[in-house]
Amino acid sequence: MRIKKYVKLSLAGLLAVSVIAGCSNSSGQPESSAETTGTDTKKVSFLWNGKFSSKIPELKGYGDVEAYKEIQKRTNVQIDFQDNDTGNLSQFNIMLASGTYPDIIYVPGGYPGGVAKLVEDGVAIRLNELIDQYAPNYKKLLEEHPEIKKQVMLDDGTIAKFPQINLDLRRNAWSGTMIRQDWLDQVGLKMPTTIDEWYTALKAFKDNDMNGNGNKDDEIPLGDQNGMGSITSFSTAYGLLTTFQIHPETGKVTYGPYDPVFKDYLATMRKWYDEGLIDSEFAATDKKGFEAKFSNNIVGAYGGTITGINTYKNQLKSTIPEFKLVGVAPPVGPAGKSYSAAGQLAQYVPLEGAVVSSQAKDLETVIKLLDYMIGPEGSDLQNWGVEGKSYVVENGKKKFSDAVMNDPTYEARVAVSRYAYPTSGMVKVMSYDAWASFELQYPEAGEANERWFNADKTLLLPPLLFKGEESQEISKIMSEADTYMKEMLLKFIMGNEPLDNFGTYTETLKKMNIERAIEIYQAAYDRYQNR
Amino acid sequence: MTEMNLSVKARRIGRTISLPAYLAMLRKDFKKNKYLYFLGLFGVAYYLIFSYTPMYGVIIAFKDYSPVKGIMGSSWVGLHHFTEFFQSFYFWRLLRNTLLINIYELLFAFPAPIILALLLNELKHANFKRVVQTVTYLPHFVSIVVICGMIVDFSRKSGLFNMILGWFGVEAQNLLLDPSLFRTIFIGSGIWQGVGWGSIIYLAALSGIDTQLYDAATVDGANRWKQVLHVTLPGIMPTIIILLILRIGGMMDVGFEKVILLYNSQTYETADVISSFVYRRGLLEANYSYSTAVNLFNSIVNFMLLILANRISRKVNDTSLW
Repeated sequence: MRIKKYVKLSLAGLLAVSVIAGCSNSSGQPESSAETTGTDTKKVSFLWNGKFSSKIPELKGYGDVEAYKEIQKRTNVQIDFQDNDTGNLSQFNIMLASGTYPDIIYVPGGYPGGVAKLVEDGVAIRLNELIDQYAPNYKKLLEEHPEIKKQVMLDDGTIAKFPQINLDLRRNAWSGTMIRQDWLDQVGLKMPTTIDEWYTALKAFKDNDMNGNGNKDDEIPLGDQNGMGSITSFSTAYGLLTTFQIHPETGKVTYGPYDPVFKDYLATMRKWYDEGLIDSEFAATDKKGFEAKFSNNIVGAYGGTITGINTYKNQLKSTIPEFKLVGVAPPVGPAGKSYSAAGQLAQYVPLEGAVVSSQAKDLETVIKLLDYMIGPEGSDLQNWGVEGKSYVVENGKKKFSDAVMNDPTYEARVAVSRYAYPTSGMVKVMSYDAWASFELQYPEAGEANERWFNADKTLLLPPLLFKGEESQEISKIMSEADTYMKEMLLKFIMGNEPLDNFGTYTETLKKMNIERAIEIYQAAYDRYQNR
Repeated sequence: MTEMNLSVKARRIGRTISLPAYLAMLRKDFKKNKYLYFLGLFGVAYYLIFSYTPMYGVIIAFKDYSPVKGIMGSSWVGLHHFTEFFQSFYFWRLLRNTLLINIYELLFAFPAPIILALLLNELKHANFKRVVQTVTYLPHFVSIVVICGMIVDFSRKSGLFNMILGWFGVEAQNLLLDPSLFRTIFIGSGIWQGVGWGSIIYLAALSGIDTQLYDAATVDGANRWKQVLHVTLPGIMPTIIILLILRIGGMMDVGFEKVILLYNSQTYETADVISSFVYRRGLLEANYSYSTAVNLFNSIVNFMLLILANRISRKVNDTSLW
């Protein structure tokens, strides 16, 4: 009897212990203060841009990358790297809600209100004076390039971030429309430059057995990767984008799909769709589905990033020796110019960037580290790696060494991640040459880069900042209006909604307060210009 | 268990027992089973800590929540987020789509596992029965992301579904682009994935039916069909009713994962539901207060439906959750 009782009691106790143990979680609080250790090495915690991932198993984190090892050594600062999945806003918000911030925070571009909001909320601090004091490299850069200073600055002149900077905007010409040059050659057409020439080319792709498999009907003249990017990019021929833009005639901000001329664009696309020139599945195609189609040699043209030119050539050149995918300048249409739709061509500086948190103690060390990273030495390290190891200098020009380009196990693009990050951004000045070593593998890619860069950039808005209540209003209006616009765009193009209803469509957009949204954009644009 | 016995006992004699006597009984029971009560404490604590305590967070539905200021520090905005949702251009479409998917699920997906369980129950060959059960359970263990990936692939113009439809002379088209097919695909695949797993609880209920009842029915001349109608079905009816009540308490819920994996701008018309809207508006754009408000509204409606269904059921056939 007695024994039974004790067994019962101890069992209950055991359960209690295990429940309590299960409750207490090991909380990984970020270390926030920059403290000086015995060996005079300073410590800085840094919420990084992006989650670390590498195809090379021995690389475990940013600290294993040669560039960052070297930066820590040369600045005598130990960086506590904290991964931040920048695509995941909730993770960023959890960090904010915890109330403990690392010394340096890389702010994701999608954070509502952005850097300005963080300064307003007291999470990030104003750096103007500190930059004068401790950041000679950054100060010099901003003084020499007023256009960059304008984009780094908030509307009131506050400088609060150390961003990724593109001195050479050619590096940003990485997206546009591409067409199969070998197919054009087959039908004896030259590269299309106008909307009408595009129609002729796509029609020829449709009517002929381009891939020579005996089936005349399997060709998809114009495909789409995802998000309707291929189809929407043709709106530039009408001087319109499918988002907020500068109107080419008035110079004012407008919302492309709200413009009366948008109807003409829709009519053209409707015709193309009707005649089978556009992939009938375009609205539901994801990247995977598109890649399968493209690899099957049935797609004639599509819009996407420059990487496609290289990867598809690598993939298809053995089976189709004459394979040639080329980048095409945006088509000229009724608007009369070859307008670019690539928003990044107006961005020297993206909306994101590294800010210094209000909890950082050793501001001197923090600013000096950031200044080193954005300065020539730090940028070289991040773009090229370590001299003699990952790159060599020949006739004054840097070149990636064999250790990167001819790695026995990994392709160059992967192998370089041991040393540097030439194609993605952090706190640094991007190098066009380092980027081009990977993205412009074939001459076609170089030509595409040039054509896309030379397009007219009149329509593009610079990165704009909204005030707290403005950004809320914008998100409220646009979450409805954007959904509605995309739905109607599809319906108009696929013929589920007659084009005569275009008036009802703009009327609905008006009811959704689109004009208020345009007003907010205009105000933000005005403030930008007055900086 | 003890608590249940106690309450059953109390209810049975409830009309004659007085309150002090009841308390005395409770005290006696507590003394007798103190270790069991002690163990039960942890379950209660679990719900207090992990389900009830975080509930104070719903107040952000009435606030303009900012992670920097925290739940307490954010400013009050009253019913602002609720009115914003009700006045939204898409409110009625979202409500309609959410309810329709649930109603169709109730009509088609709810009876499916019951039918499967009845069919399995009639199988005499034990090995065959086991094979069928395992095969029907399996899809339940496949991740929804994988399932949707398969559906997307199969629905393509050159996909499996179109190949099969082609044999019957149906012209190939991407099935996920047709708004009128979305609900069919959504619910059909849901049945395929969940029918086996869902039948387990009914099979358990079936095994609890007294075999003597079948013998008696056979003696009375009932054939297999009549046995199902008059013995089997009434036997599992309480289980069916309880699950039905619970299901009605979820009428405003549609899992957003599957919707966002299957829909596109072309099918928003039938596919966009409250949860997918909240996902876009609340999570992607980080409007936590707004999404909390919408979900609070959802929960309140669900709660009322649950109570209503329970009350009706208690009146009509004396089966109820409480």
